[in-house]
Amino acid sequence: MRGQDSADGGSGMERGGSIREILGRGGLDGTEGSGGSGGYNFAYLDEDTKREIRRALLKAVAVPGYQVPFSGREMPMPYGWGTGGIQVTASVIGPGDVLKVIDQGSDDTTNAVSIRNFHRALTGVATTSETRRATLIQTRHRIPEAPLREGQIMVYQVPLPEPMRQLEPSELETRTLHALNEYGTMYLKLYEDVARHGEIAISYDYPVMVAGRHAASPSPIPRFDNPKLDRSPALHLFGAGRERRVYAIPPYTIVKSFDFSDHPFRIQSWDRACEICGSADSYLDEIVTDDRGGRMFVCSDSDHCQERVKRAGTGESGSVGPTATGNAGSTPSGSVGPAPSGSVGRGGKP
Amino acid sequence: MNEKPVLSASRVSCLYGSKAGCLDVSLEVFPGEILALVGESGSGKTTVLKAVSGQLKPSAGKVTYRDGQGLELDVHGLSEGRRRLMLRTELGFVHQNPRDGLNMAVSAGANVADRLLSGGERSYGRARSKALDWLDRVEIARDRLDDRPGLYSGGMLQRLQIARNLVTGPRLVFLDEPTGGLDASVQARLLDLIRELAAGLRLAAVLVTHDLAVARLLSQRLMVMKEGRVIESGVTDQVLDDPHEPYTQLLVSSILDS
Repeated sequence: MRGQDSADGGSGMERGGSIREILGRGGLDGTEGSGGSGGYNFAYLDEDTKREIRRALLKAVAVPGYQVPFSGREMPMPYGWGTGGIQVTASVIGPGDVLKVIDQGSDDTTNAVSIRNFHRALTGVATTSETRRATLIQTRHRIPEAPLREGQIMVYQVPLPEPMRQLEPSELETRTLHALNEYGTMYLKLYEDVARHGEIAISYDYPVMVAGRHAASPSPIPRFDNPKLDRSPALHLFGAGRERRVYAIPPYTIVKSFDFSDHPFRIQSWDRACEICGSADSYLDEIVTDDRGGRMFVCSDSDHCQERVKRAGTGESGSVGPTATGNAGSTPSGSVGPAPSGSVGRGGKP
Repeated sequence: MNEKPVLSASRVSCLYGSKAGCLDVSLEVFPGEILALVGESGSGKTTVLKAVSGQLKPSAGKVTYRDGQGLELDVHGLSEGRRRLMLRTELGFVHQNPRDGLNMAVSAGANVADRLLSGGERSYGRARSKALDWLDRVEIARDRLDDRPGLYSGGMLQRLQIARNLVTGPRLVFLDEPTGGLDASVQARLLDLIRELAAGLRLAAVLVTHDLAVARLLSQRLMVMKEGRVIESGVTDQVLDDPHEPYTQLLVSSILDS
């Protein structure tokens, strides 16, 4: 979408050629990695494929929340490891981008490291863990705590793009329901939750209404992050590799979480703060620290946490440090049902 | 009758390939009236029901529904969205097998609330209290509200399906063998219930059945079908007590005498 200008027809494989050729065109700011091995096109995908995905993305941006089919390619990793997100990233990345990759909020988990290495090896772009510096952020399971800004692109890895799939197994039927704006099914799921648990118990992948028209899955982010999508200045792109769908939430789009008038949408909250940086308003992970029931609650967004610690160290912001004693057994209040995956341990597979 | 019909079908024919499912069937249903379609299996009853309820587009003929505002709608000429909206608000369809008409993956309460939520109800409390109210009316114990329908007996499932259809206050209900597969005592209670509800709500209904006893109990008018055509029609008691067509005579004698 930005940067690399290559949609002028012809065979990209031959013309786009090696990474060195593209690197030679300049526009790189501080490469961390060296260019990848020869023989691969810039960002792995050939230019025709990237163009096809960009076309699907343009359509997705034009119809916010609508799932656009695209011809998903085989990627050098299994489905479920983020093939959709990687294809979207590869299609929109340009040599001038600064890339951040997070998994469960952290830049250091296995998947995040591998995907970041993959992109760096095949594009040579600069990478960062700082949300503020990044122009392109590929993510799984979280939206960074630091506010996003105009010009940034978030790319989400989506396992199940269809929010009604659980109650309506037929793709033909769900497409009809989307087309006719019939979203009674969404409320059926909420009704079941309230009847069974006394509240809406969806803790992640909480369905949203995009621009008042299309119901969409926000991907498995905690419902804590849903409000960050509403009128966000950044562009949000969603890629589902196995299901071969992309969809988008353009900047400043109204995004509303489904709820009942007498059971309104609420985000998770904790009765404690992060034990490393003391943040009281970020999404906390519960980390098991020993085999005797010891555990601690820390920010899920590792960059946000480190940033706060660093700033406190240089005296830029207020008090930092453990403000709550790490008693075992405390759980996030207001979260019934399955805990957000990854709340215990890090870096696992979905 | 000086009222206008809720539903009228004129010369409806449905062809399955070169074979006819129904031929030249015309019918009218008036508010508060139950019309029965009887005949042996394969005579085209269900085909007619599907055609007049908008689920099967007939090869020829026209089906007209008159909505609450007195507006005449060509059922098969409507946009799909409008037709589906009509199917889940103003019309009801009770299947012979309740599993076809219920969502077995969600609780009984959700099944009843479904049509309310689809219709734009956004208050959980209201949807739930209406569902509870309807369980009462179809004589299902209140404490079964949050059970999955899979835990219900056959008769309860059928009553639940009726509640699910009636919760939005439809004006016209299609009943496809509603008592099929139920034992005699359960059948009797269900028939009582349907009769009471229909009379109380001034429901119009088209009832398909092969059981003449059910037709006699529920319907005011009757149409006898054979090989896709209507061969005799009239007031139910009259047709059953004094059948004119040889086929109807055969049907009446074979069933009522037993």
